[in-house]
Amino acid sequence: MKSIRRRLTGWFLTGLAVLWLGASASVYWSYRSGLMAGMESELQTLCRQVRSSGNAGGGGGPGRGGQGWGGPPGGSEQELTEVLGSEVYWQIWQLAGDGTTRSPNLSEDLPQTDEGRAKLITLKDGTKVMTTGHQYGMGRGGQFVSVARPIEEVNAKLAQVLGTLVLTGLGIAVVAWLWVRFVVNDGLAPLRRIADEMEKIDIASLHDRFDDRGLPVELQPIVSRLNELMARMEGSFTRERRFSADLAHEMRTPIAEAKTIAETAVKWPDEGGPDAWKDVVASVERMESIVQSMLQLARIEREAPQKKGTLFPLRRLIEERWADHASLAASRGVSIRIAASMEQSLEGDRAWWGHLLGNLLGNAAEYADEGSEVIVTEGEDQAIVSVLNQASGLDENALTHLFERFWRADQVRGESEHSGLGLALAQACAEAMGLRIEALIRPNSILEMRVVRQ
Amino acid sequence: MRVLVVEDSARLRAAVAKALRRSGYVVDEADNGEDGLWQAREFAYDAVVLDLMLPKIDGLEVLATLRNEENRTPVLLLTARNTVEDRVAGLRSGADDYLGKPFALEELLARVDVMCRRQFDHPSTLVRVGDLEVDTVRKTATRGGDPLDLTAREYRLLEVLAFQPGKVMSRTEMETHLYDELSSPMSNVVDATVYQLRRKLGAAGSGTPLIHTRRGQGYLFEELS
Repeated sequence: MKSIRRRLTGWFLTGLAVLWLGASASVYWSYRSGLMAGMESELQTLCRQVRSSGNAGGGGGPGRGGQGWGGPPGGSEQELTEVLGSEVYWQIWQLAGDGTTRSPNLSEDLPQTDEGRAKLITLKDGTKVMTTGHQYGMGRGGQFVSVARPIEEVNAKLAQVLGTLVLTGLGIAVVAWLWVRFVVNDGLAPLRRIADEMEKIDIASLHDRFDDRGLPVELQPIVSRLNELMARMEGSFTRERRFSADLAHEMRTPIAEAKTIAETAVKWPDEGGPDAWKDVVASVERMESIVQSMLQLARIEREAPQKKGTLFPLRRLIEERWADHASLAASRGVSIRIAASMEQSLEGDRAWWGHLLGNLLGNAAEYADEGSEVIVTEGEDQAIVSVLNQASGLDENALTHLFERFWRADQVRGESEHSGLGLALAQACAEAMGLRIEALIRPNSILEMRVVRQ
Repeated sequence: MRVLVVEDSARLRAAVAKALRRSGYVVDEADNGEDGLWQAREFAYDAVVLDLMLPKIDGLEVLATLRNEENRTPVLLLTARNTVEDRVAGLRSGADDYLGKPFALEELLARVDVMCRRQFDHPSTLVRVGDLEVDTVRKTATRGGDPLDLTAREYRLLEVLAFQPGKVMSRTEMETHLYDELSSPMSNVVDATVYQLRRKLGAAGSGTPLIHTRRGQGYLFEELS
């Protein structure tokens, strides 16, 4: 799998190479065209020079007879070669007849090119030349002059330019590679930082967050979402750890009970009677109750985001839940009064409201002072529901622990089969619906458990 | 030996107390820190089995209070709080031992036995006085190789006496080791038990008297030459 750095570097360098090749080709061909045009122009000048030499000489011009124009217009071939230079080839055709003459260094005929057009040809001796021709006059006195010149010099200049372009290109390629590398590394540094930070994340470092200081704006939303994700993961792991720790802690005592009773019966068989078995069953039932409550708590926390509310009559739910504890309440002389304001309908999850009210009413039925009255009303300060009862044994200090998992008041510890999860469950239900349960001690030791919006 | 069990779980407390009683200990029980502290102050226990999370007064506070009052009774912490930090905190508060829940009954009994012996500076489970040998694990005694047929009460008294040879022990001290707080000992039970022990010890081994009366003080357990 290619890295982003390698991919970007590859694309940058390829782009630069294409640009450089294009530019180099353009420079090369422009330069070559310039050289060729210059040479063509020079050949045209040479053509005129050959012609003008003929006109000025008079030693055998057209129509002068002699060899039927066997020599150059301006004198001998030797003289003209001296004037034009030894590397110039020329040839003159008489338009009338087949008279022609050419430079001494030319061993073959030059092609008669189209008027004013230059052409590259290779002579029999292997010399590459550029040739052009021009017609002067018409009819009997007319001549066609062709001149040619080797293109070695032009090729040498082009080779030099090409070499320069290649060398410059290589130099630029090295510089570009270093620069692109720097730019890509610098551009990807924030990503690398995030990757390094992410690599360090494990179960033990879920409380860490990605540092978004100095990050480019393109990465800010990603880091922000990652941090939110981390927070959610940390919350989940914390809940999971707390669940396991709480469960392990609370299960130890009933396990110890059952184990000790069983080991005592094994060591002293006469101690293994029905009473011992009853105690073992009671311990196992307590374990079962703890596990079920904890699973319920975990389920509420897990399902909270997906739950949808419905409308239901509040009073009927209160009556249903109180009925679960009515016999216990009656045995303690505790009665209930439901205020008229509870005739309203509530919107929310009926099952969670059922858990919530069931726990509040159950606690009131069991722990309210004997012979007292439990009042269910809308309460003050915009509470949705308030459950009030006399609770002489409860102090302000206990209120701070009331909703903690497995917390039990001193008076209900030891002998009680309660797991200490009831109010934690009720609070979890409330929070899952965007509510909160508050506990207050009013004058005359009245405990008020009020459900309010968060 | 007399042991106090302070534990708020009724079933666990009853089960531990029953196992200790069946192992020959005299056991008192308390279901909260306040009562446990009071009992530990009032009675001379050979060991205390103490839970940490207790109603009214926390177990660590009970322990710290006892140690501040120079009460040196060996204390075994028996608790569900079983992390290294909890164990260190418990031991640094003055506990002699620490046992996490759930525990093996045999381990609890062995640790209580060790704590009781340590109180008498006796590292071995075999106590020897002359030709008498008391096995504190098997709860048996022999003299000159002859096994002694002892009742539970006689064994308890013999064990306490054997752990402290050469020390004059008052009748009240003996009662403390023989009865729990719920028993109402009759005044002559100690004397009757001592009589039975003397008789059984005299009939075995060398027969040399081991229990000697110190008038107005109590009894001395020693092989006098």
